[in-house]
Amino acid sequence: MLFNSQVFIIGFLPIVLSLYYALAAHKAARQALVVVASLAFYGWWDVRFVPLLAGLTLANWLIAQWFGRVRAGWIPLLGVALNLAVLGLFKYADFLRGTVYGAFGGDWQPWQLILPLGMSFFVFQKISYLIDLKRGDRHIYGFLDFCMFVTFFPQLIAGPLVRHNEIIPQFAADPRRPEMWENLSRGFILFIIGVAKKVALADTLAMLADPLFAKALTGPLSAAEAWTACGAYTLQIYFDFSGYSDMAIGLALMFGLRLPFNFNAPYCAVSIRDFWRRWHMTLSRFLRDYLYIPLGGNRCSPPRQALNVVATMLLGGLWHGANWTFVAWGGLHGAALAVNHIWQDRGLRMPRALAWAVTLLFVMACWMLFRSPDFTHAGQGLLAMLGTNGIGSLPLKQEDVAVLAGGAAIALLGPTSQEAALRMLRPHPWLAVPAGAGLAYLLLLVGGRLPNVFIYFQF
Amino acid sequence: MSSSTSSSNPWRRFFRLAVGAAAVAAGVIYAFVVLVDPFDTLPLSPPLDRVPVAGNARFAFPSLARSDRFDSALFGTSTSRLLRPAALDPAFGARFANLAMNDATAYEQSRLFDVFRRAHQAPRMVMVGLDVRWCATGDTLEMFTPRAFPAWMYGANRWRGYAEMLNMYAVQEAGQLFGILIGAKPPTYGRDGYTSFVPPDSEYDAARVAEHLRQETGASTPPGPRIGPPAAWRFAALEMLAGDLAKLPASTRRVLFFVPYNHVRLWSPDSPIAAVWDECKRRVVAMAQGQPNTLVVDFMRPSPITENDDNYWDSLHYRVAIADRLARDLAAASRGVASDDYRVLAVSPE
Repeated sequence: MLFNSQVFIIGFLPIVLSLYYALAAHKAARQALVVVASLAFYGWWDVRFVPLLAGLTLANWLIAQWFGRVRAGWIPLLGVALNLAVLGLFKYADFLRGTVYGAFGGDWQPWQLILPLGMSFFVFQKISYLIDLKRGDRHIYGFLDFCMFVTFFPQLIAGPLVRHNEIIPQFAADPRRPEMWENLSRGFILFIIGVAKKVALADTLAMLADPLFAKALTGPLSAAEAWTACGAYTLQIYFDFSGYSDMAIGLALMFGLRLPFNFNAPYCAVSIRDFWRRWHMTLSRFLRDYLYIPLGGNRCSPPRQALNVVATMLLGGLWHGANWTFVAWGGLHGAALAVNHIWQDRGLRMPRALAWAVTLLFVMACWMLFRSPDFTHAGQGLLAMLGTNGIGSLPLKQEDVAVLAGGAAIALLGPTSQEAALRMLRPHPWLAVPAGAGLAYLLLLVGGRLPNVFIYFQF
Repeated sequence: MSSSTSSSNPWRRFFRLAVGAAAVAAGVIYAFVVLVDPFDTLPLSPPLDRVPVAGNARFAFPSLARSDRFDSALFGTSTSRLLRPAALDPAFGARFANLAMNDATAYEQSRLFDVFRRAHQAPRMVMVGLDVRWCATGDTLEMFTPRAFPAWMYGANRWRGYAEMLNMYAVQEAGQLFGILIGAKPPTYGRDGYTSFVPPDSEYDAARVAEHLRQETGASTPPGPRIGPPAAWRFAALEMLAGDLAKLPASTRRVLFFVPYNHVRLWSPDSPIAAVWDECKRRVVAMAQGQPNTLVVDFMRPSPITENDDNYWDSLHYRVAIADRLARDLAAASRGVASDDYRVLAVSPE
């Protein structure tokens, strides 16, 4: 079930939220409700994977319990290995087999295992908990607390990557506390903002970017087309992912729970370090705390430090998808971060506007690699942006121009969603009514857009 | 209850207003759509004088296919779209609905045929315009085009439609139908499904058409793999058609006709493409001979219709007067009259 679906917005959410507040006085009951609802939410996509989710949840909880009694350091590592094995099987088995067979030759057939939805997030979240245990964290949670932490549906599919110690302590608080209405209101508005970013902006931008990237598979793009494709995708991926995070954070807040922020105006970044402090912040935090720092972090020599950051980002890239283009994308960001470190260590400076432009151009070029199916097409796309196929032209419809310009303005000039919903919002009735009406409009968009008028006859 | 959760809490009022506004706005829009019922498909919609409105005929025609105002139906693509029921009805003594849909795949036509058949136990006539889509070869069937196909409309459970009314297209079409119902807009389709999609004949420009035809040279080629001799080829769409026609009672008159492509779309007799069309026509004849009460007429051949460019808007679409001539020709062929316009490929008795 998607957050931006009618069945979720009209059916699932009102029912679960109402029952949650009806059971608010009973911690175990409201937690059990959330766990059952979350499993239903997950099973709506494919019920066959519910046993896998439930089984892994139980296995991780049992491992934590075992560690709580025995306190042997290898037990959490066993859990980490279990989680990585499951992720490796579902997400990377064909990728690794293809790489090996590609290197050594031989016929092979992909297993084509379906990657269970949210598996990448689920596994990273459990790994962070198990490594925290290994590092001396003493939190051994009860079964319901742990199940709710793992399955809580707002963050189950695509994060934010929440740490156990920043959400499980919140479960004890009665949601019917004095700030309940404020939480419901701010969460509802943040959810609407997220739906708008996803449905009105990201999906519209995809209708501009997708045909151009499809065209690039069959022939060369002009510079105008390549820049439009790259620009549209740059905005699309931001509004898509940050919109989803906004929906997740807003939903959690409606249940009285605070999730960490995930985006903070990333395209305003003036360096690549700055970018990664603003983009998918909970993943950056995970990579820093569970990869980069254990590798030595900033405490080693500059060359080793550079190696550490590149290695961290290579793995971060691989996490995004089982394709060498993702690995290379991570590697490029890692190399840029290493250069950024050296630049700062030497006290070099760049005018702020120039630093912003260089950062954004680098990020956009990397998105071209991220979006392309292989290196050949990524290279062709980047060369097209440099004008090797001519400047060309691309007649854009008014709505295309509007969504590009509007999207860029929101991404670069507007307040972030969390600032708007959690800090700036005041309980004025004249804001509530248009916000609600806006959600009704988004519900229509979610239901189906107006189809393109087919130019079939040209008499 | 603390003061901050009491009724004086401004956030409480804010939340209720926001949720209420969303619910009222969505509810009013939904109520409008289901009351107008733009696709005339909901079981509880009020008895308004609805006409087909949806620009995508896949949405507009299931209700016509169910309607008891018709006892006969014409299926096909835009190459059959201009055949007027008003011309077919007196020629055959039937009440036709023109259910030909622009760019429809054979599968989409079959789904619509199924809706018609379920609603009409013993239709008087079923007519199918055969074109390149029906002669595709291979095991796989092309199912859909980029146009939306509302599969829920084609099933037996019409209550399902209530879950499909909260979207931009339904709202737009409800607005269109409402405009027609209050007399603010003229209808788009005829009540029998007929619509002329070509410009008025007064705008016909022979020089412009000639330019179109010059650009459209190249015989029409059925898609799909063809391995081995023609007799080994599989025509999945025709197999589906045979199954559909076999479900009709013997009393139903089946008329299949190959549509008249302009000569620029026809093939030379010794070309590889000719082998495909010849085999397709041979299969249709064989199918007809296995069905009762069936007539197969071939307009897709060099003839006074196809050889004259002035009969066409483009290589696939003829003028309205030619559509009326086709209706007369089909009636004549049904009576066993010969003509240079067509060739009767098969006739099977009831």
